[in-house]
Amino acid sequence: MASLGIENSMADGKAKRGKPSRLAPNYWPFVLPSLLVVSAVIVFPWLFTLWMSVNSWTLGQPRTFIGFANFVRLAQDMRFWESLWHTTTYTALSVVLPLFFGTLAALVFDAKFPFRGLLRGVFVMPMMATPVAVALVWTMMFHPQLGVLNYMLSFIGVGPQEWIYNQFTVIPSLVLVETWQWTPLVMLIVLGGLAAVPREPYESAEIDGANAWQKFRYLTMPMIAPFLMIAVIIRSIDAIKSFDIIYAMTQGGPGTASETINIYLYNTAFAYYDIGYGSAMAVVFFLIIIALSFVLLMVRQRAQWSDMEDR
Amino acid sequence: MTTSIMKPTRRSFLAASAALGGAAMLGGRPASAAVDWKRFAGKTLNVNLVKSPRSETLIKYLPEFESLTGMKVNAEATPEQQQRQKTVIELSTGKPSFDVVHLSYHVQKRQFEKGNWLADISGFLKDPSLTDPSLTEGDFAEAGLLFAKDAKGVLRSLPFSVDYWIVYWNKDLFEKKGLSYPTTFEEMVAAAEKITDPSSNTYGFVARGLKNANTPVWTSLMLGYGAAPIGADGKVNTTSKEAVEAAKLYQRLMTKAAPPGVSGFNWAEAQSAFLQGKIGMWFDGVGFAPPIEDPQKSRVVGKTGYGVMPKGPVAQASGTFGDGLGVVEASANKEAAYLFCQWAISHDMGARLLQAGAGVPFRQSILSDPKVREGVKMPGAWLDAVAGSGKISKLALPVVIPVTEFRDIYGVALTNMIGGADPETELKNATAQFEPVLARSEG
Amino acid sequence: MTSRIIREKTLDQVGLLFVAFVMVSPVILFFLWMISLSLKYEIDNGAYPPILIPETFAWSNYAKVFEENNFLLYFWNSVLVTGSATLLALIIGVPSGYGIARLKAEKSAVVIMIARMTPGLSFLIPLFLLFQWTGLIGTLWPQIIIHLVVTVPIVVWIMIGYFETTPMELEEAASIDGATPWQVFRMVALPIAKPGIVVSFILALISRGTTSSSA
Repeated sequence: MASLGIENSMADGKAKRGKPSRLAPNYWPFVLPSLLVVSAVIVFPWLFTLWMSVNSWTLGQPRTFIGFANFVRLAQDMRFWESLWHTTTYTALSVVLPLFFGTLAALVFDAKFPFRGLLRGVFVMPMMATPVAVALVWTMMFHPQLGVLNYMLSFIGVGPQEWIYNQFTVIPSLVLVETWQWTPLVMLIVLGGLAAVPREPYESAEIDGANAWQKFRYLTMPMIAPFLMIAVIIRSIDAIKSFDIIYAMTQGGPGTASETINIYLYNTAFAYYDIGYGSAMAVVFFLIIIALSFVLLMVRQRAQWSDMEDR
Repeated sequence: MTTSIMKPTRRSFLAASAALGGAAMLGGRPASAAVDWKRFAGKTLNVNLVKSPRSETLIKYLPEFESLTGMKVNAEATPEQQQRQKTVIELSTGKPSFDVVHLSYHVQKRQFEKGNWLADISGFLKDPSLTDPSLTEGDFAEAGLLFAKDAKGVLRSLPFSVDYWIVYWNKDLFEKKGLSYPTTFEEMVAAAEKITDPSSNTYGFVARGLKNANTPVWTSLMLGYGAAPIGADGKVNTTSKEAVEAAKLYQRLMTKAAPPGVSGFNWAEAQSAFLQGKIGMWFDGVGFAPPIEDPQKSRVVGKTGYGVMPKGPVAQASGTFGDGLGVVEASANKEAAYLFCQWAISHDMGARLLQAGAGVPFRQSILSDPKVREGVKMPGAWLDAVAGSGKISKLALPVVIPVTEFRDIYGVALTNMIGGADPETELKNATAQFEPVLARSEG
Repeated sequence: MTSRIIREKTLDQVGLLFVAFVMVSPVILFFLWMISLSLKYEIDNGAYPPILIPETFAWSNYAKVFEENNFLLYFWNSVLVTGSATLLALIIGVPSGYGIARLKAEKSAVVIMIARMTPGLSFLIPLFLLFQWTGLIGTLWPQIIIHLVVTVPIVVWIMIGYFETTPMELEEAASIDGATPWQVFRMVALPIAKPGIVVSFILALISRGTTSSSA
């Protein structure tokens, strides 16, 4: 769809070039450099990936054309389906939890209280830490025998947990790290939204005797909804592609308990050197991401329409 | 080359004396005037290494090689996984950016052979103008030659450092329970279970439980039952009685005597637990003596025993892994690159490796040299464990292309076993998964 | 009456401060522990019960960072890469945002956004081959170019928003006076959009590519 549009407008651009008209200035030269750069860096890799996905090619061995066999293999690959499930739960949790805590944090930091600036500054620090450092320190804190988290739990009478070292707790533990790191991002986005909220409706609501929850539900929520939507979109696309933290902390383990599509894709291409199969996986993964963003954008547009109708 | 020996010119004479000087710097051994170390003076070599104590030793002494040969060496050392990816991708494009490559035999041997990525250096080894007479095939431990030669017996690399798996044991914990170092698998299990006491956070045994990393533990145990995961006939042997028994032993040790969360342990987690004195026995590669004996890192300095792998029901065998240095087939400086490999595995460099505990050279003449042994900074028991393991050394991973898939698939099965799954069923499932992978890549 | 309101307000403030402190505590815990780990010898890092403040500090850990890993070189390289990727992204992306806003060519914007959504891992091998053919391997260019994939879309998207809101009248007047599109952009549109350039500069600077770690 999008590509068709581009071709048409490119053709327009070509037709117009060379005869500048005062009424309709030619803007394509402005756009071309970035389209060229992005195409050079994206289009070639994509053609390459598409071509490889219909080939059988392991590095160091000859390449053969095999049609859609890679995709058939993918459909029957239990490990792929499992990784799809892991990706789904990981992404869902990594969107919902930061969204919840981030909104909460934004509401708190929107109010006035002493040391607000300082605490807010501290709160956004995780965003700036590099994934490698984050993974390293959390991994040490999670150590089931020597970790500081189990030590702290022992004070409140909770027995040692296995955190990322157990197949049932590994995804929640990783999400904990993801939430810790990215809640501030949601907080910042929502805080920006809250800043634009007018004061008057609250005053009249208070006169009408509305309680805090009602004020939040019927006044704040609708006004910050577009910002929440932006946060959901950014978070979803980042979480579904999450790689650094998972790979550095568990490499997809224990077993394959935290192997997401991105990790499995990485293993296939760079540990097994199975470029053909890995490319097929990349194609499917990309389609999933496109589908997800499409759904999110649709939801966003619908939300905007319903807002308009409400008004 | 030979001509220059017959008719010495002023230049080759100078070169030879420079080589003498260089060799003298290498430790004062009588140098063979025949090797013309300066022959490629002025050339630049690119060397791609795995980041490890072994490559660090090489890089530390690199200036010696540069002044010996007059060559310039760009050595790059990157962490293992990155290095493997980078070298494999570059080699498969046919235009690698390096002349010398560091490879892990137990993972990459077949892959490199099938890709034809390494130069045939058999001829270089026999050429007295390129090879010091002390370096002969017979000097390498048997496993080294098995690793370095391809299926047709052509030498493709020089064996650099060998890794035997040994048992590190905490003497204090053993003493407290009145135990001595086990000599058989049965005794090992019994000792591990006796030492285990969750109430004091003490466990009898630890080894890698994390998928992929854990597979060599199981295959090493399997050697004690007299079996290998893939037979000499190339048939997958992983549902055999021996394989199942070894898996059951792994399961028992890792569930009854190992710390909680062990299914996510790689060597790093195992190491930190052992260094804190919380573990009776730790089964892993031979290279961990330096951290164990470092008071800044360890609470078990001087309290650690180093044991050869106990005897299994059928055999006593030490799982063996290793790495080598190869000259890249696509390199334009094959002979110069070969000189670098030769220097890296030379008597003096090997001695330095061993003495720092950074690695164990494949060359017997280094291990048996009393002068070298004297200089070893690690405890005598460690050196004994190394020598003892050398005598019962057996390759512990199958020599196939999809080694990583092998390790991943069976690694998941082993992790499941730690979670309580039945070894026989798990192995059956894993074998069903692995067989087609093997067929695809070797076929 | 007023004293009650004041008391309630202080109570509210104390409550908020408390809640905020609870929210910030995981952050403090992490960074305290990180600093502690960086100042301890390995023997204390694995100690159980954990040690927060060791008896002897391992200041040498920091010296090692600088000595062993060519830290300064890596640091300088990453400054070069991020810096040039950000500048290039502005040079390419700001005019693009302008062009797309004026053309109302939202579909090109979508194409540029797709670049951001593509799983970074699928770039690596083809781009490696591309860089090898062009002889760029071994230079910093591959890293800069990979960064551009992330930074250009950010700049373009933010700039579209800014140029869409700037008034057209001035531009139209300028072009009637005979200014070329480039002059209009340079003299009229660009100065108005300065705040947008600052925002996209900052965002492009802090955004990390998903591929940066593996490239």
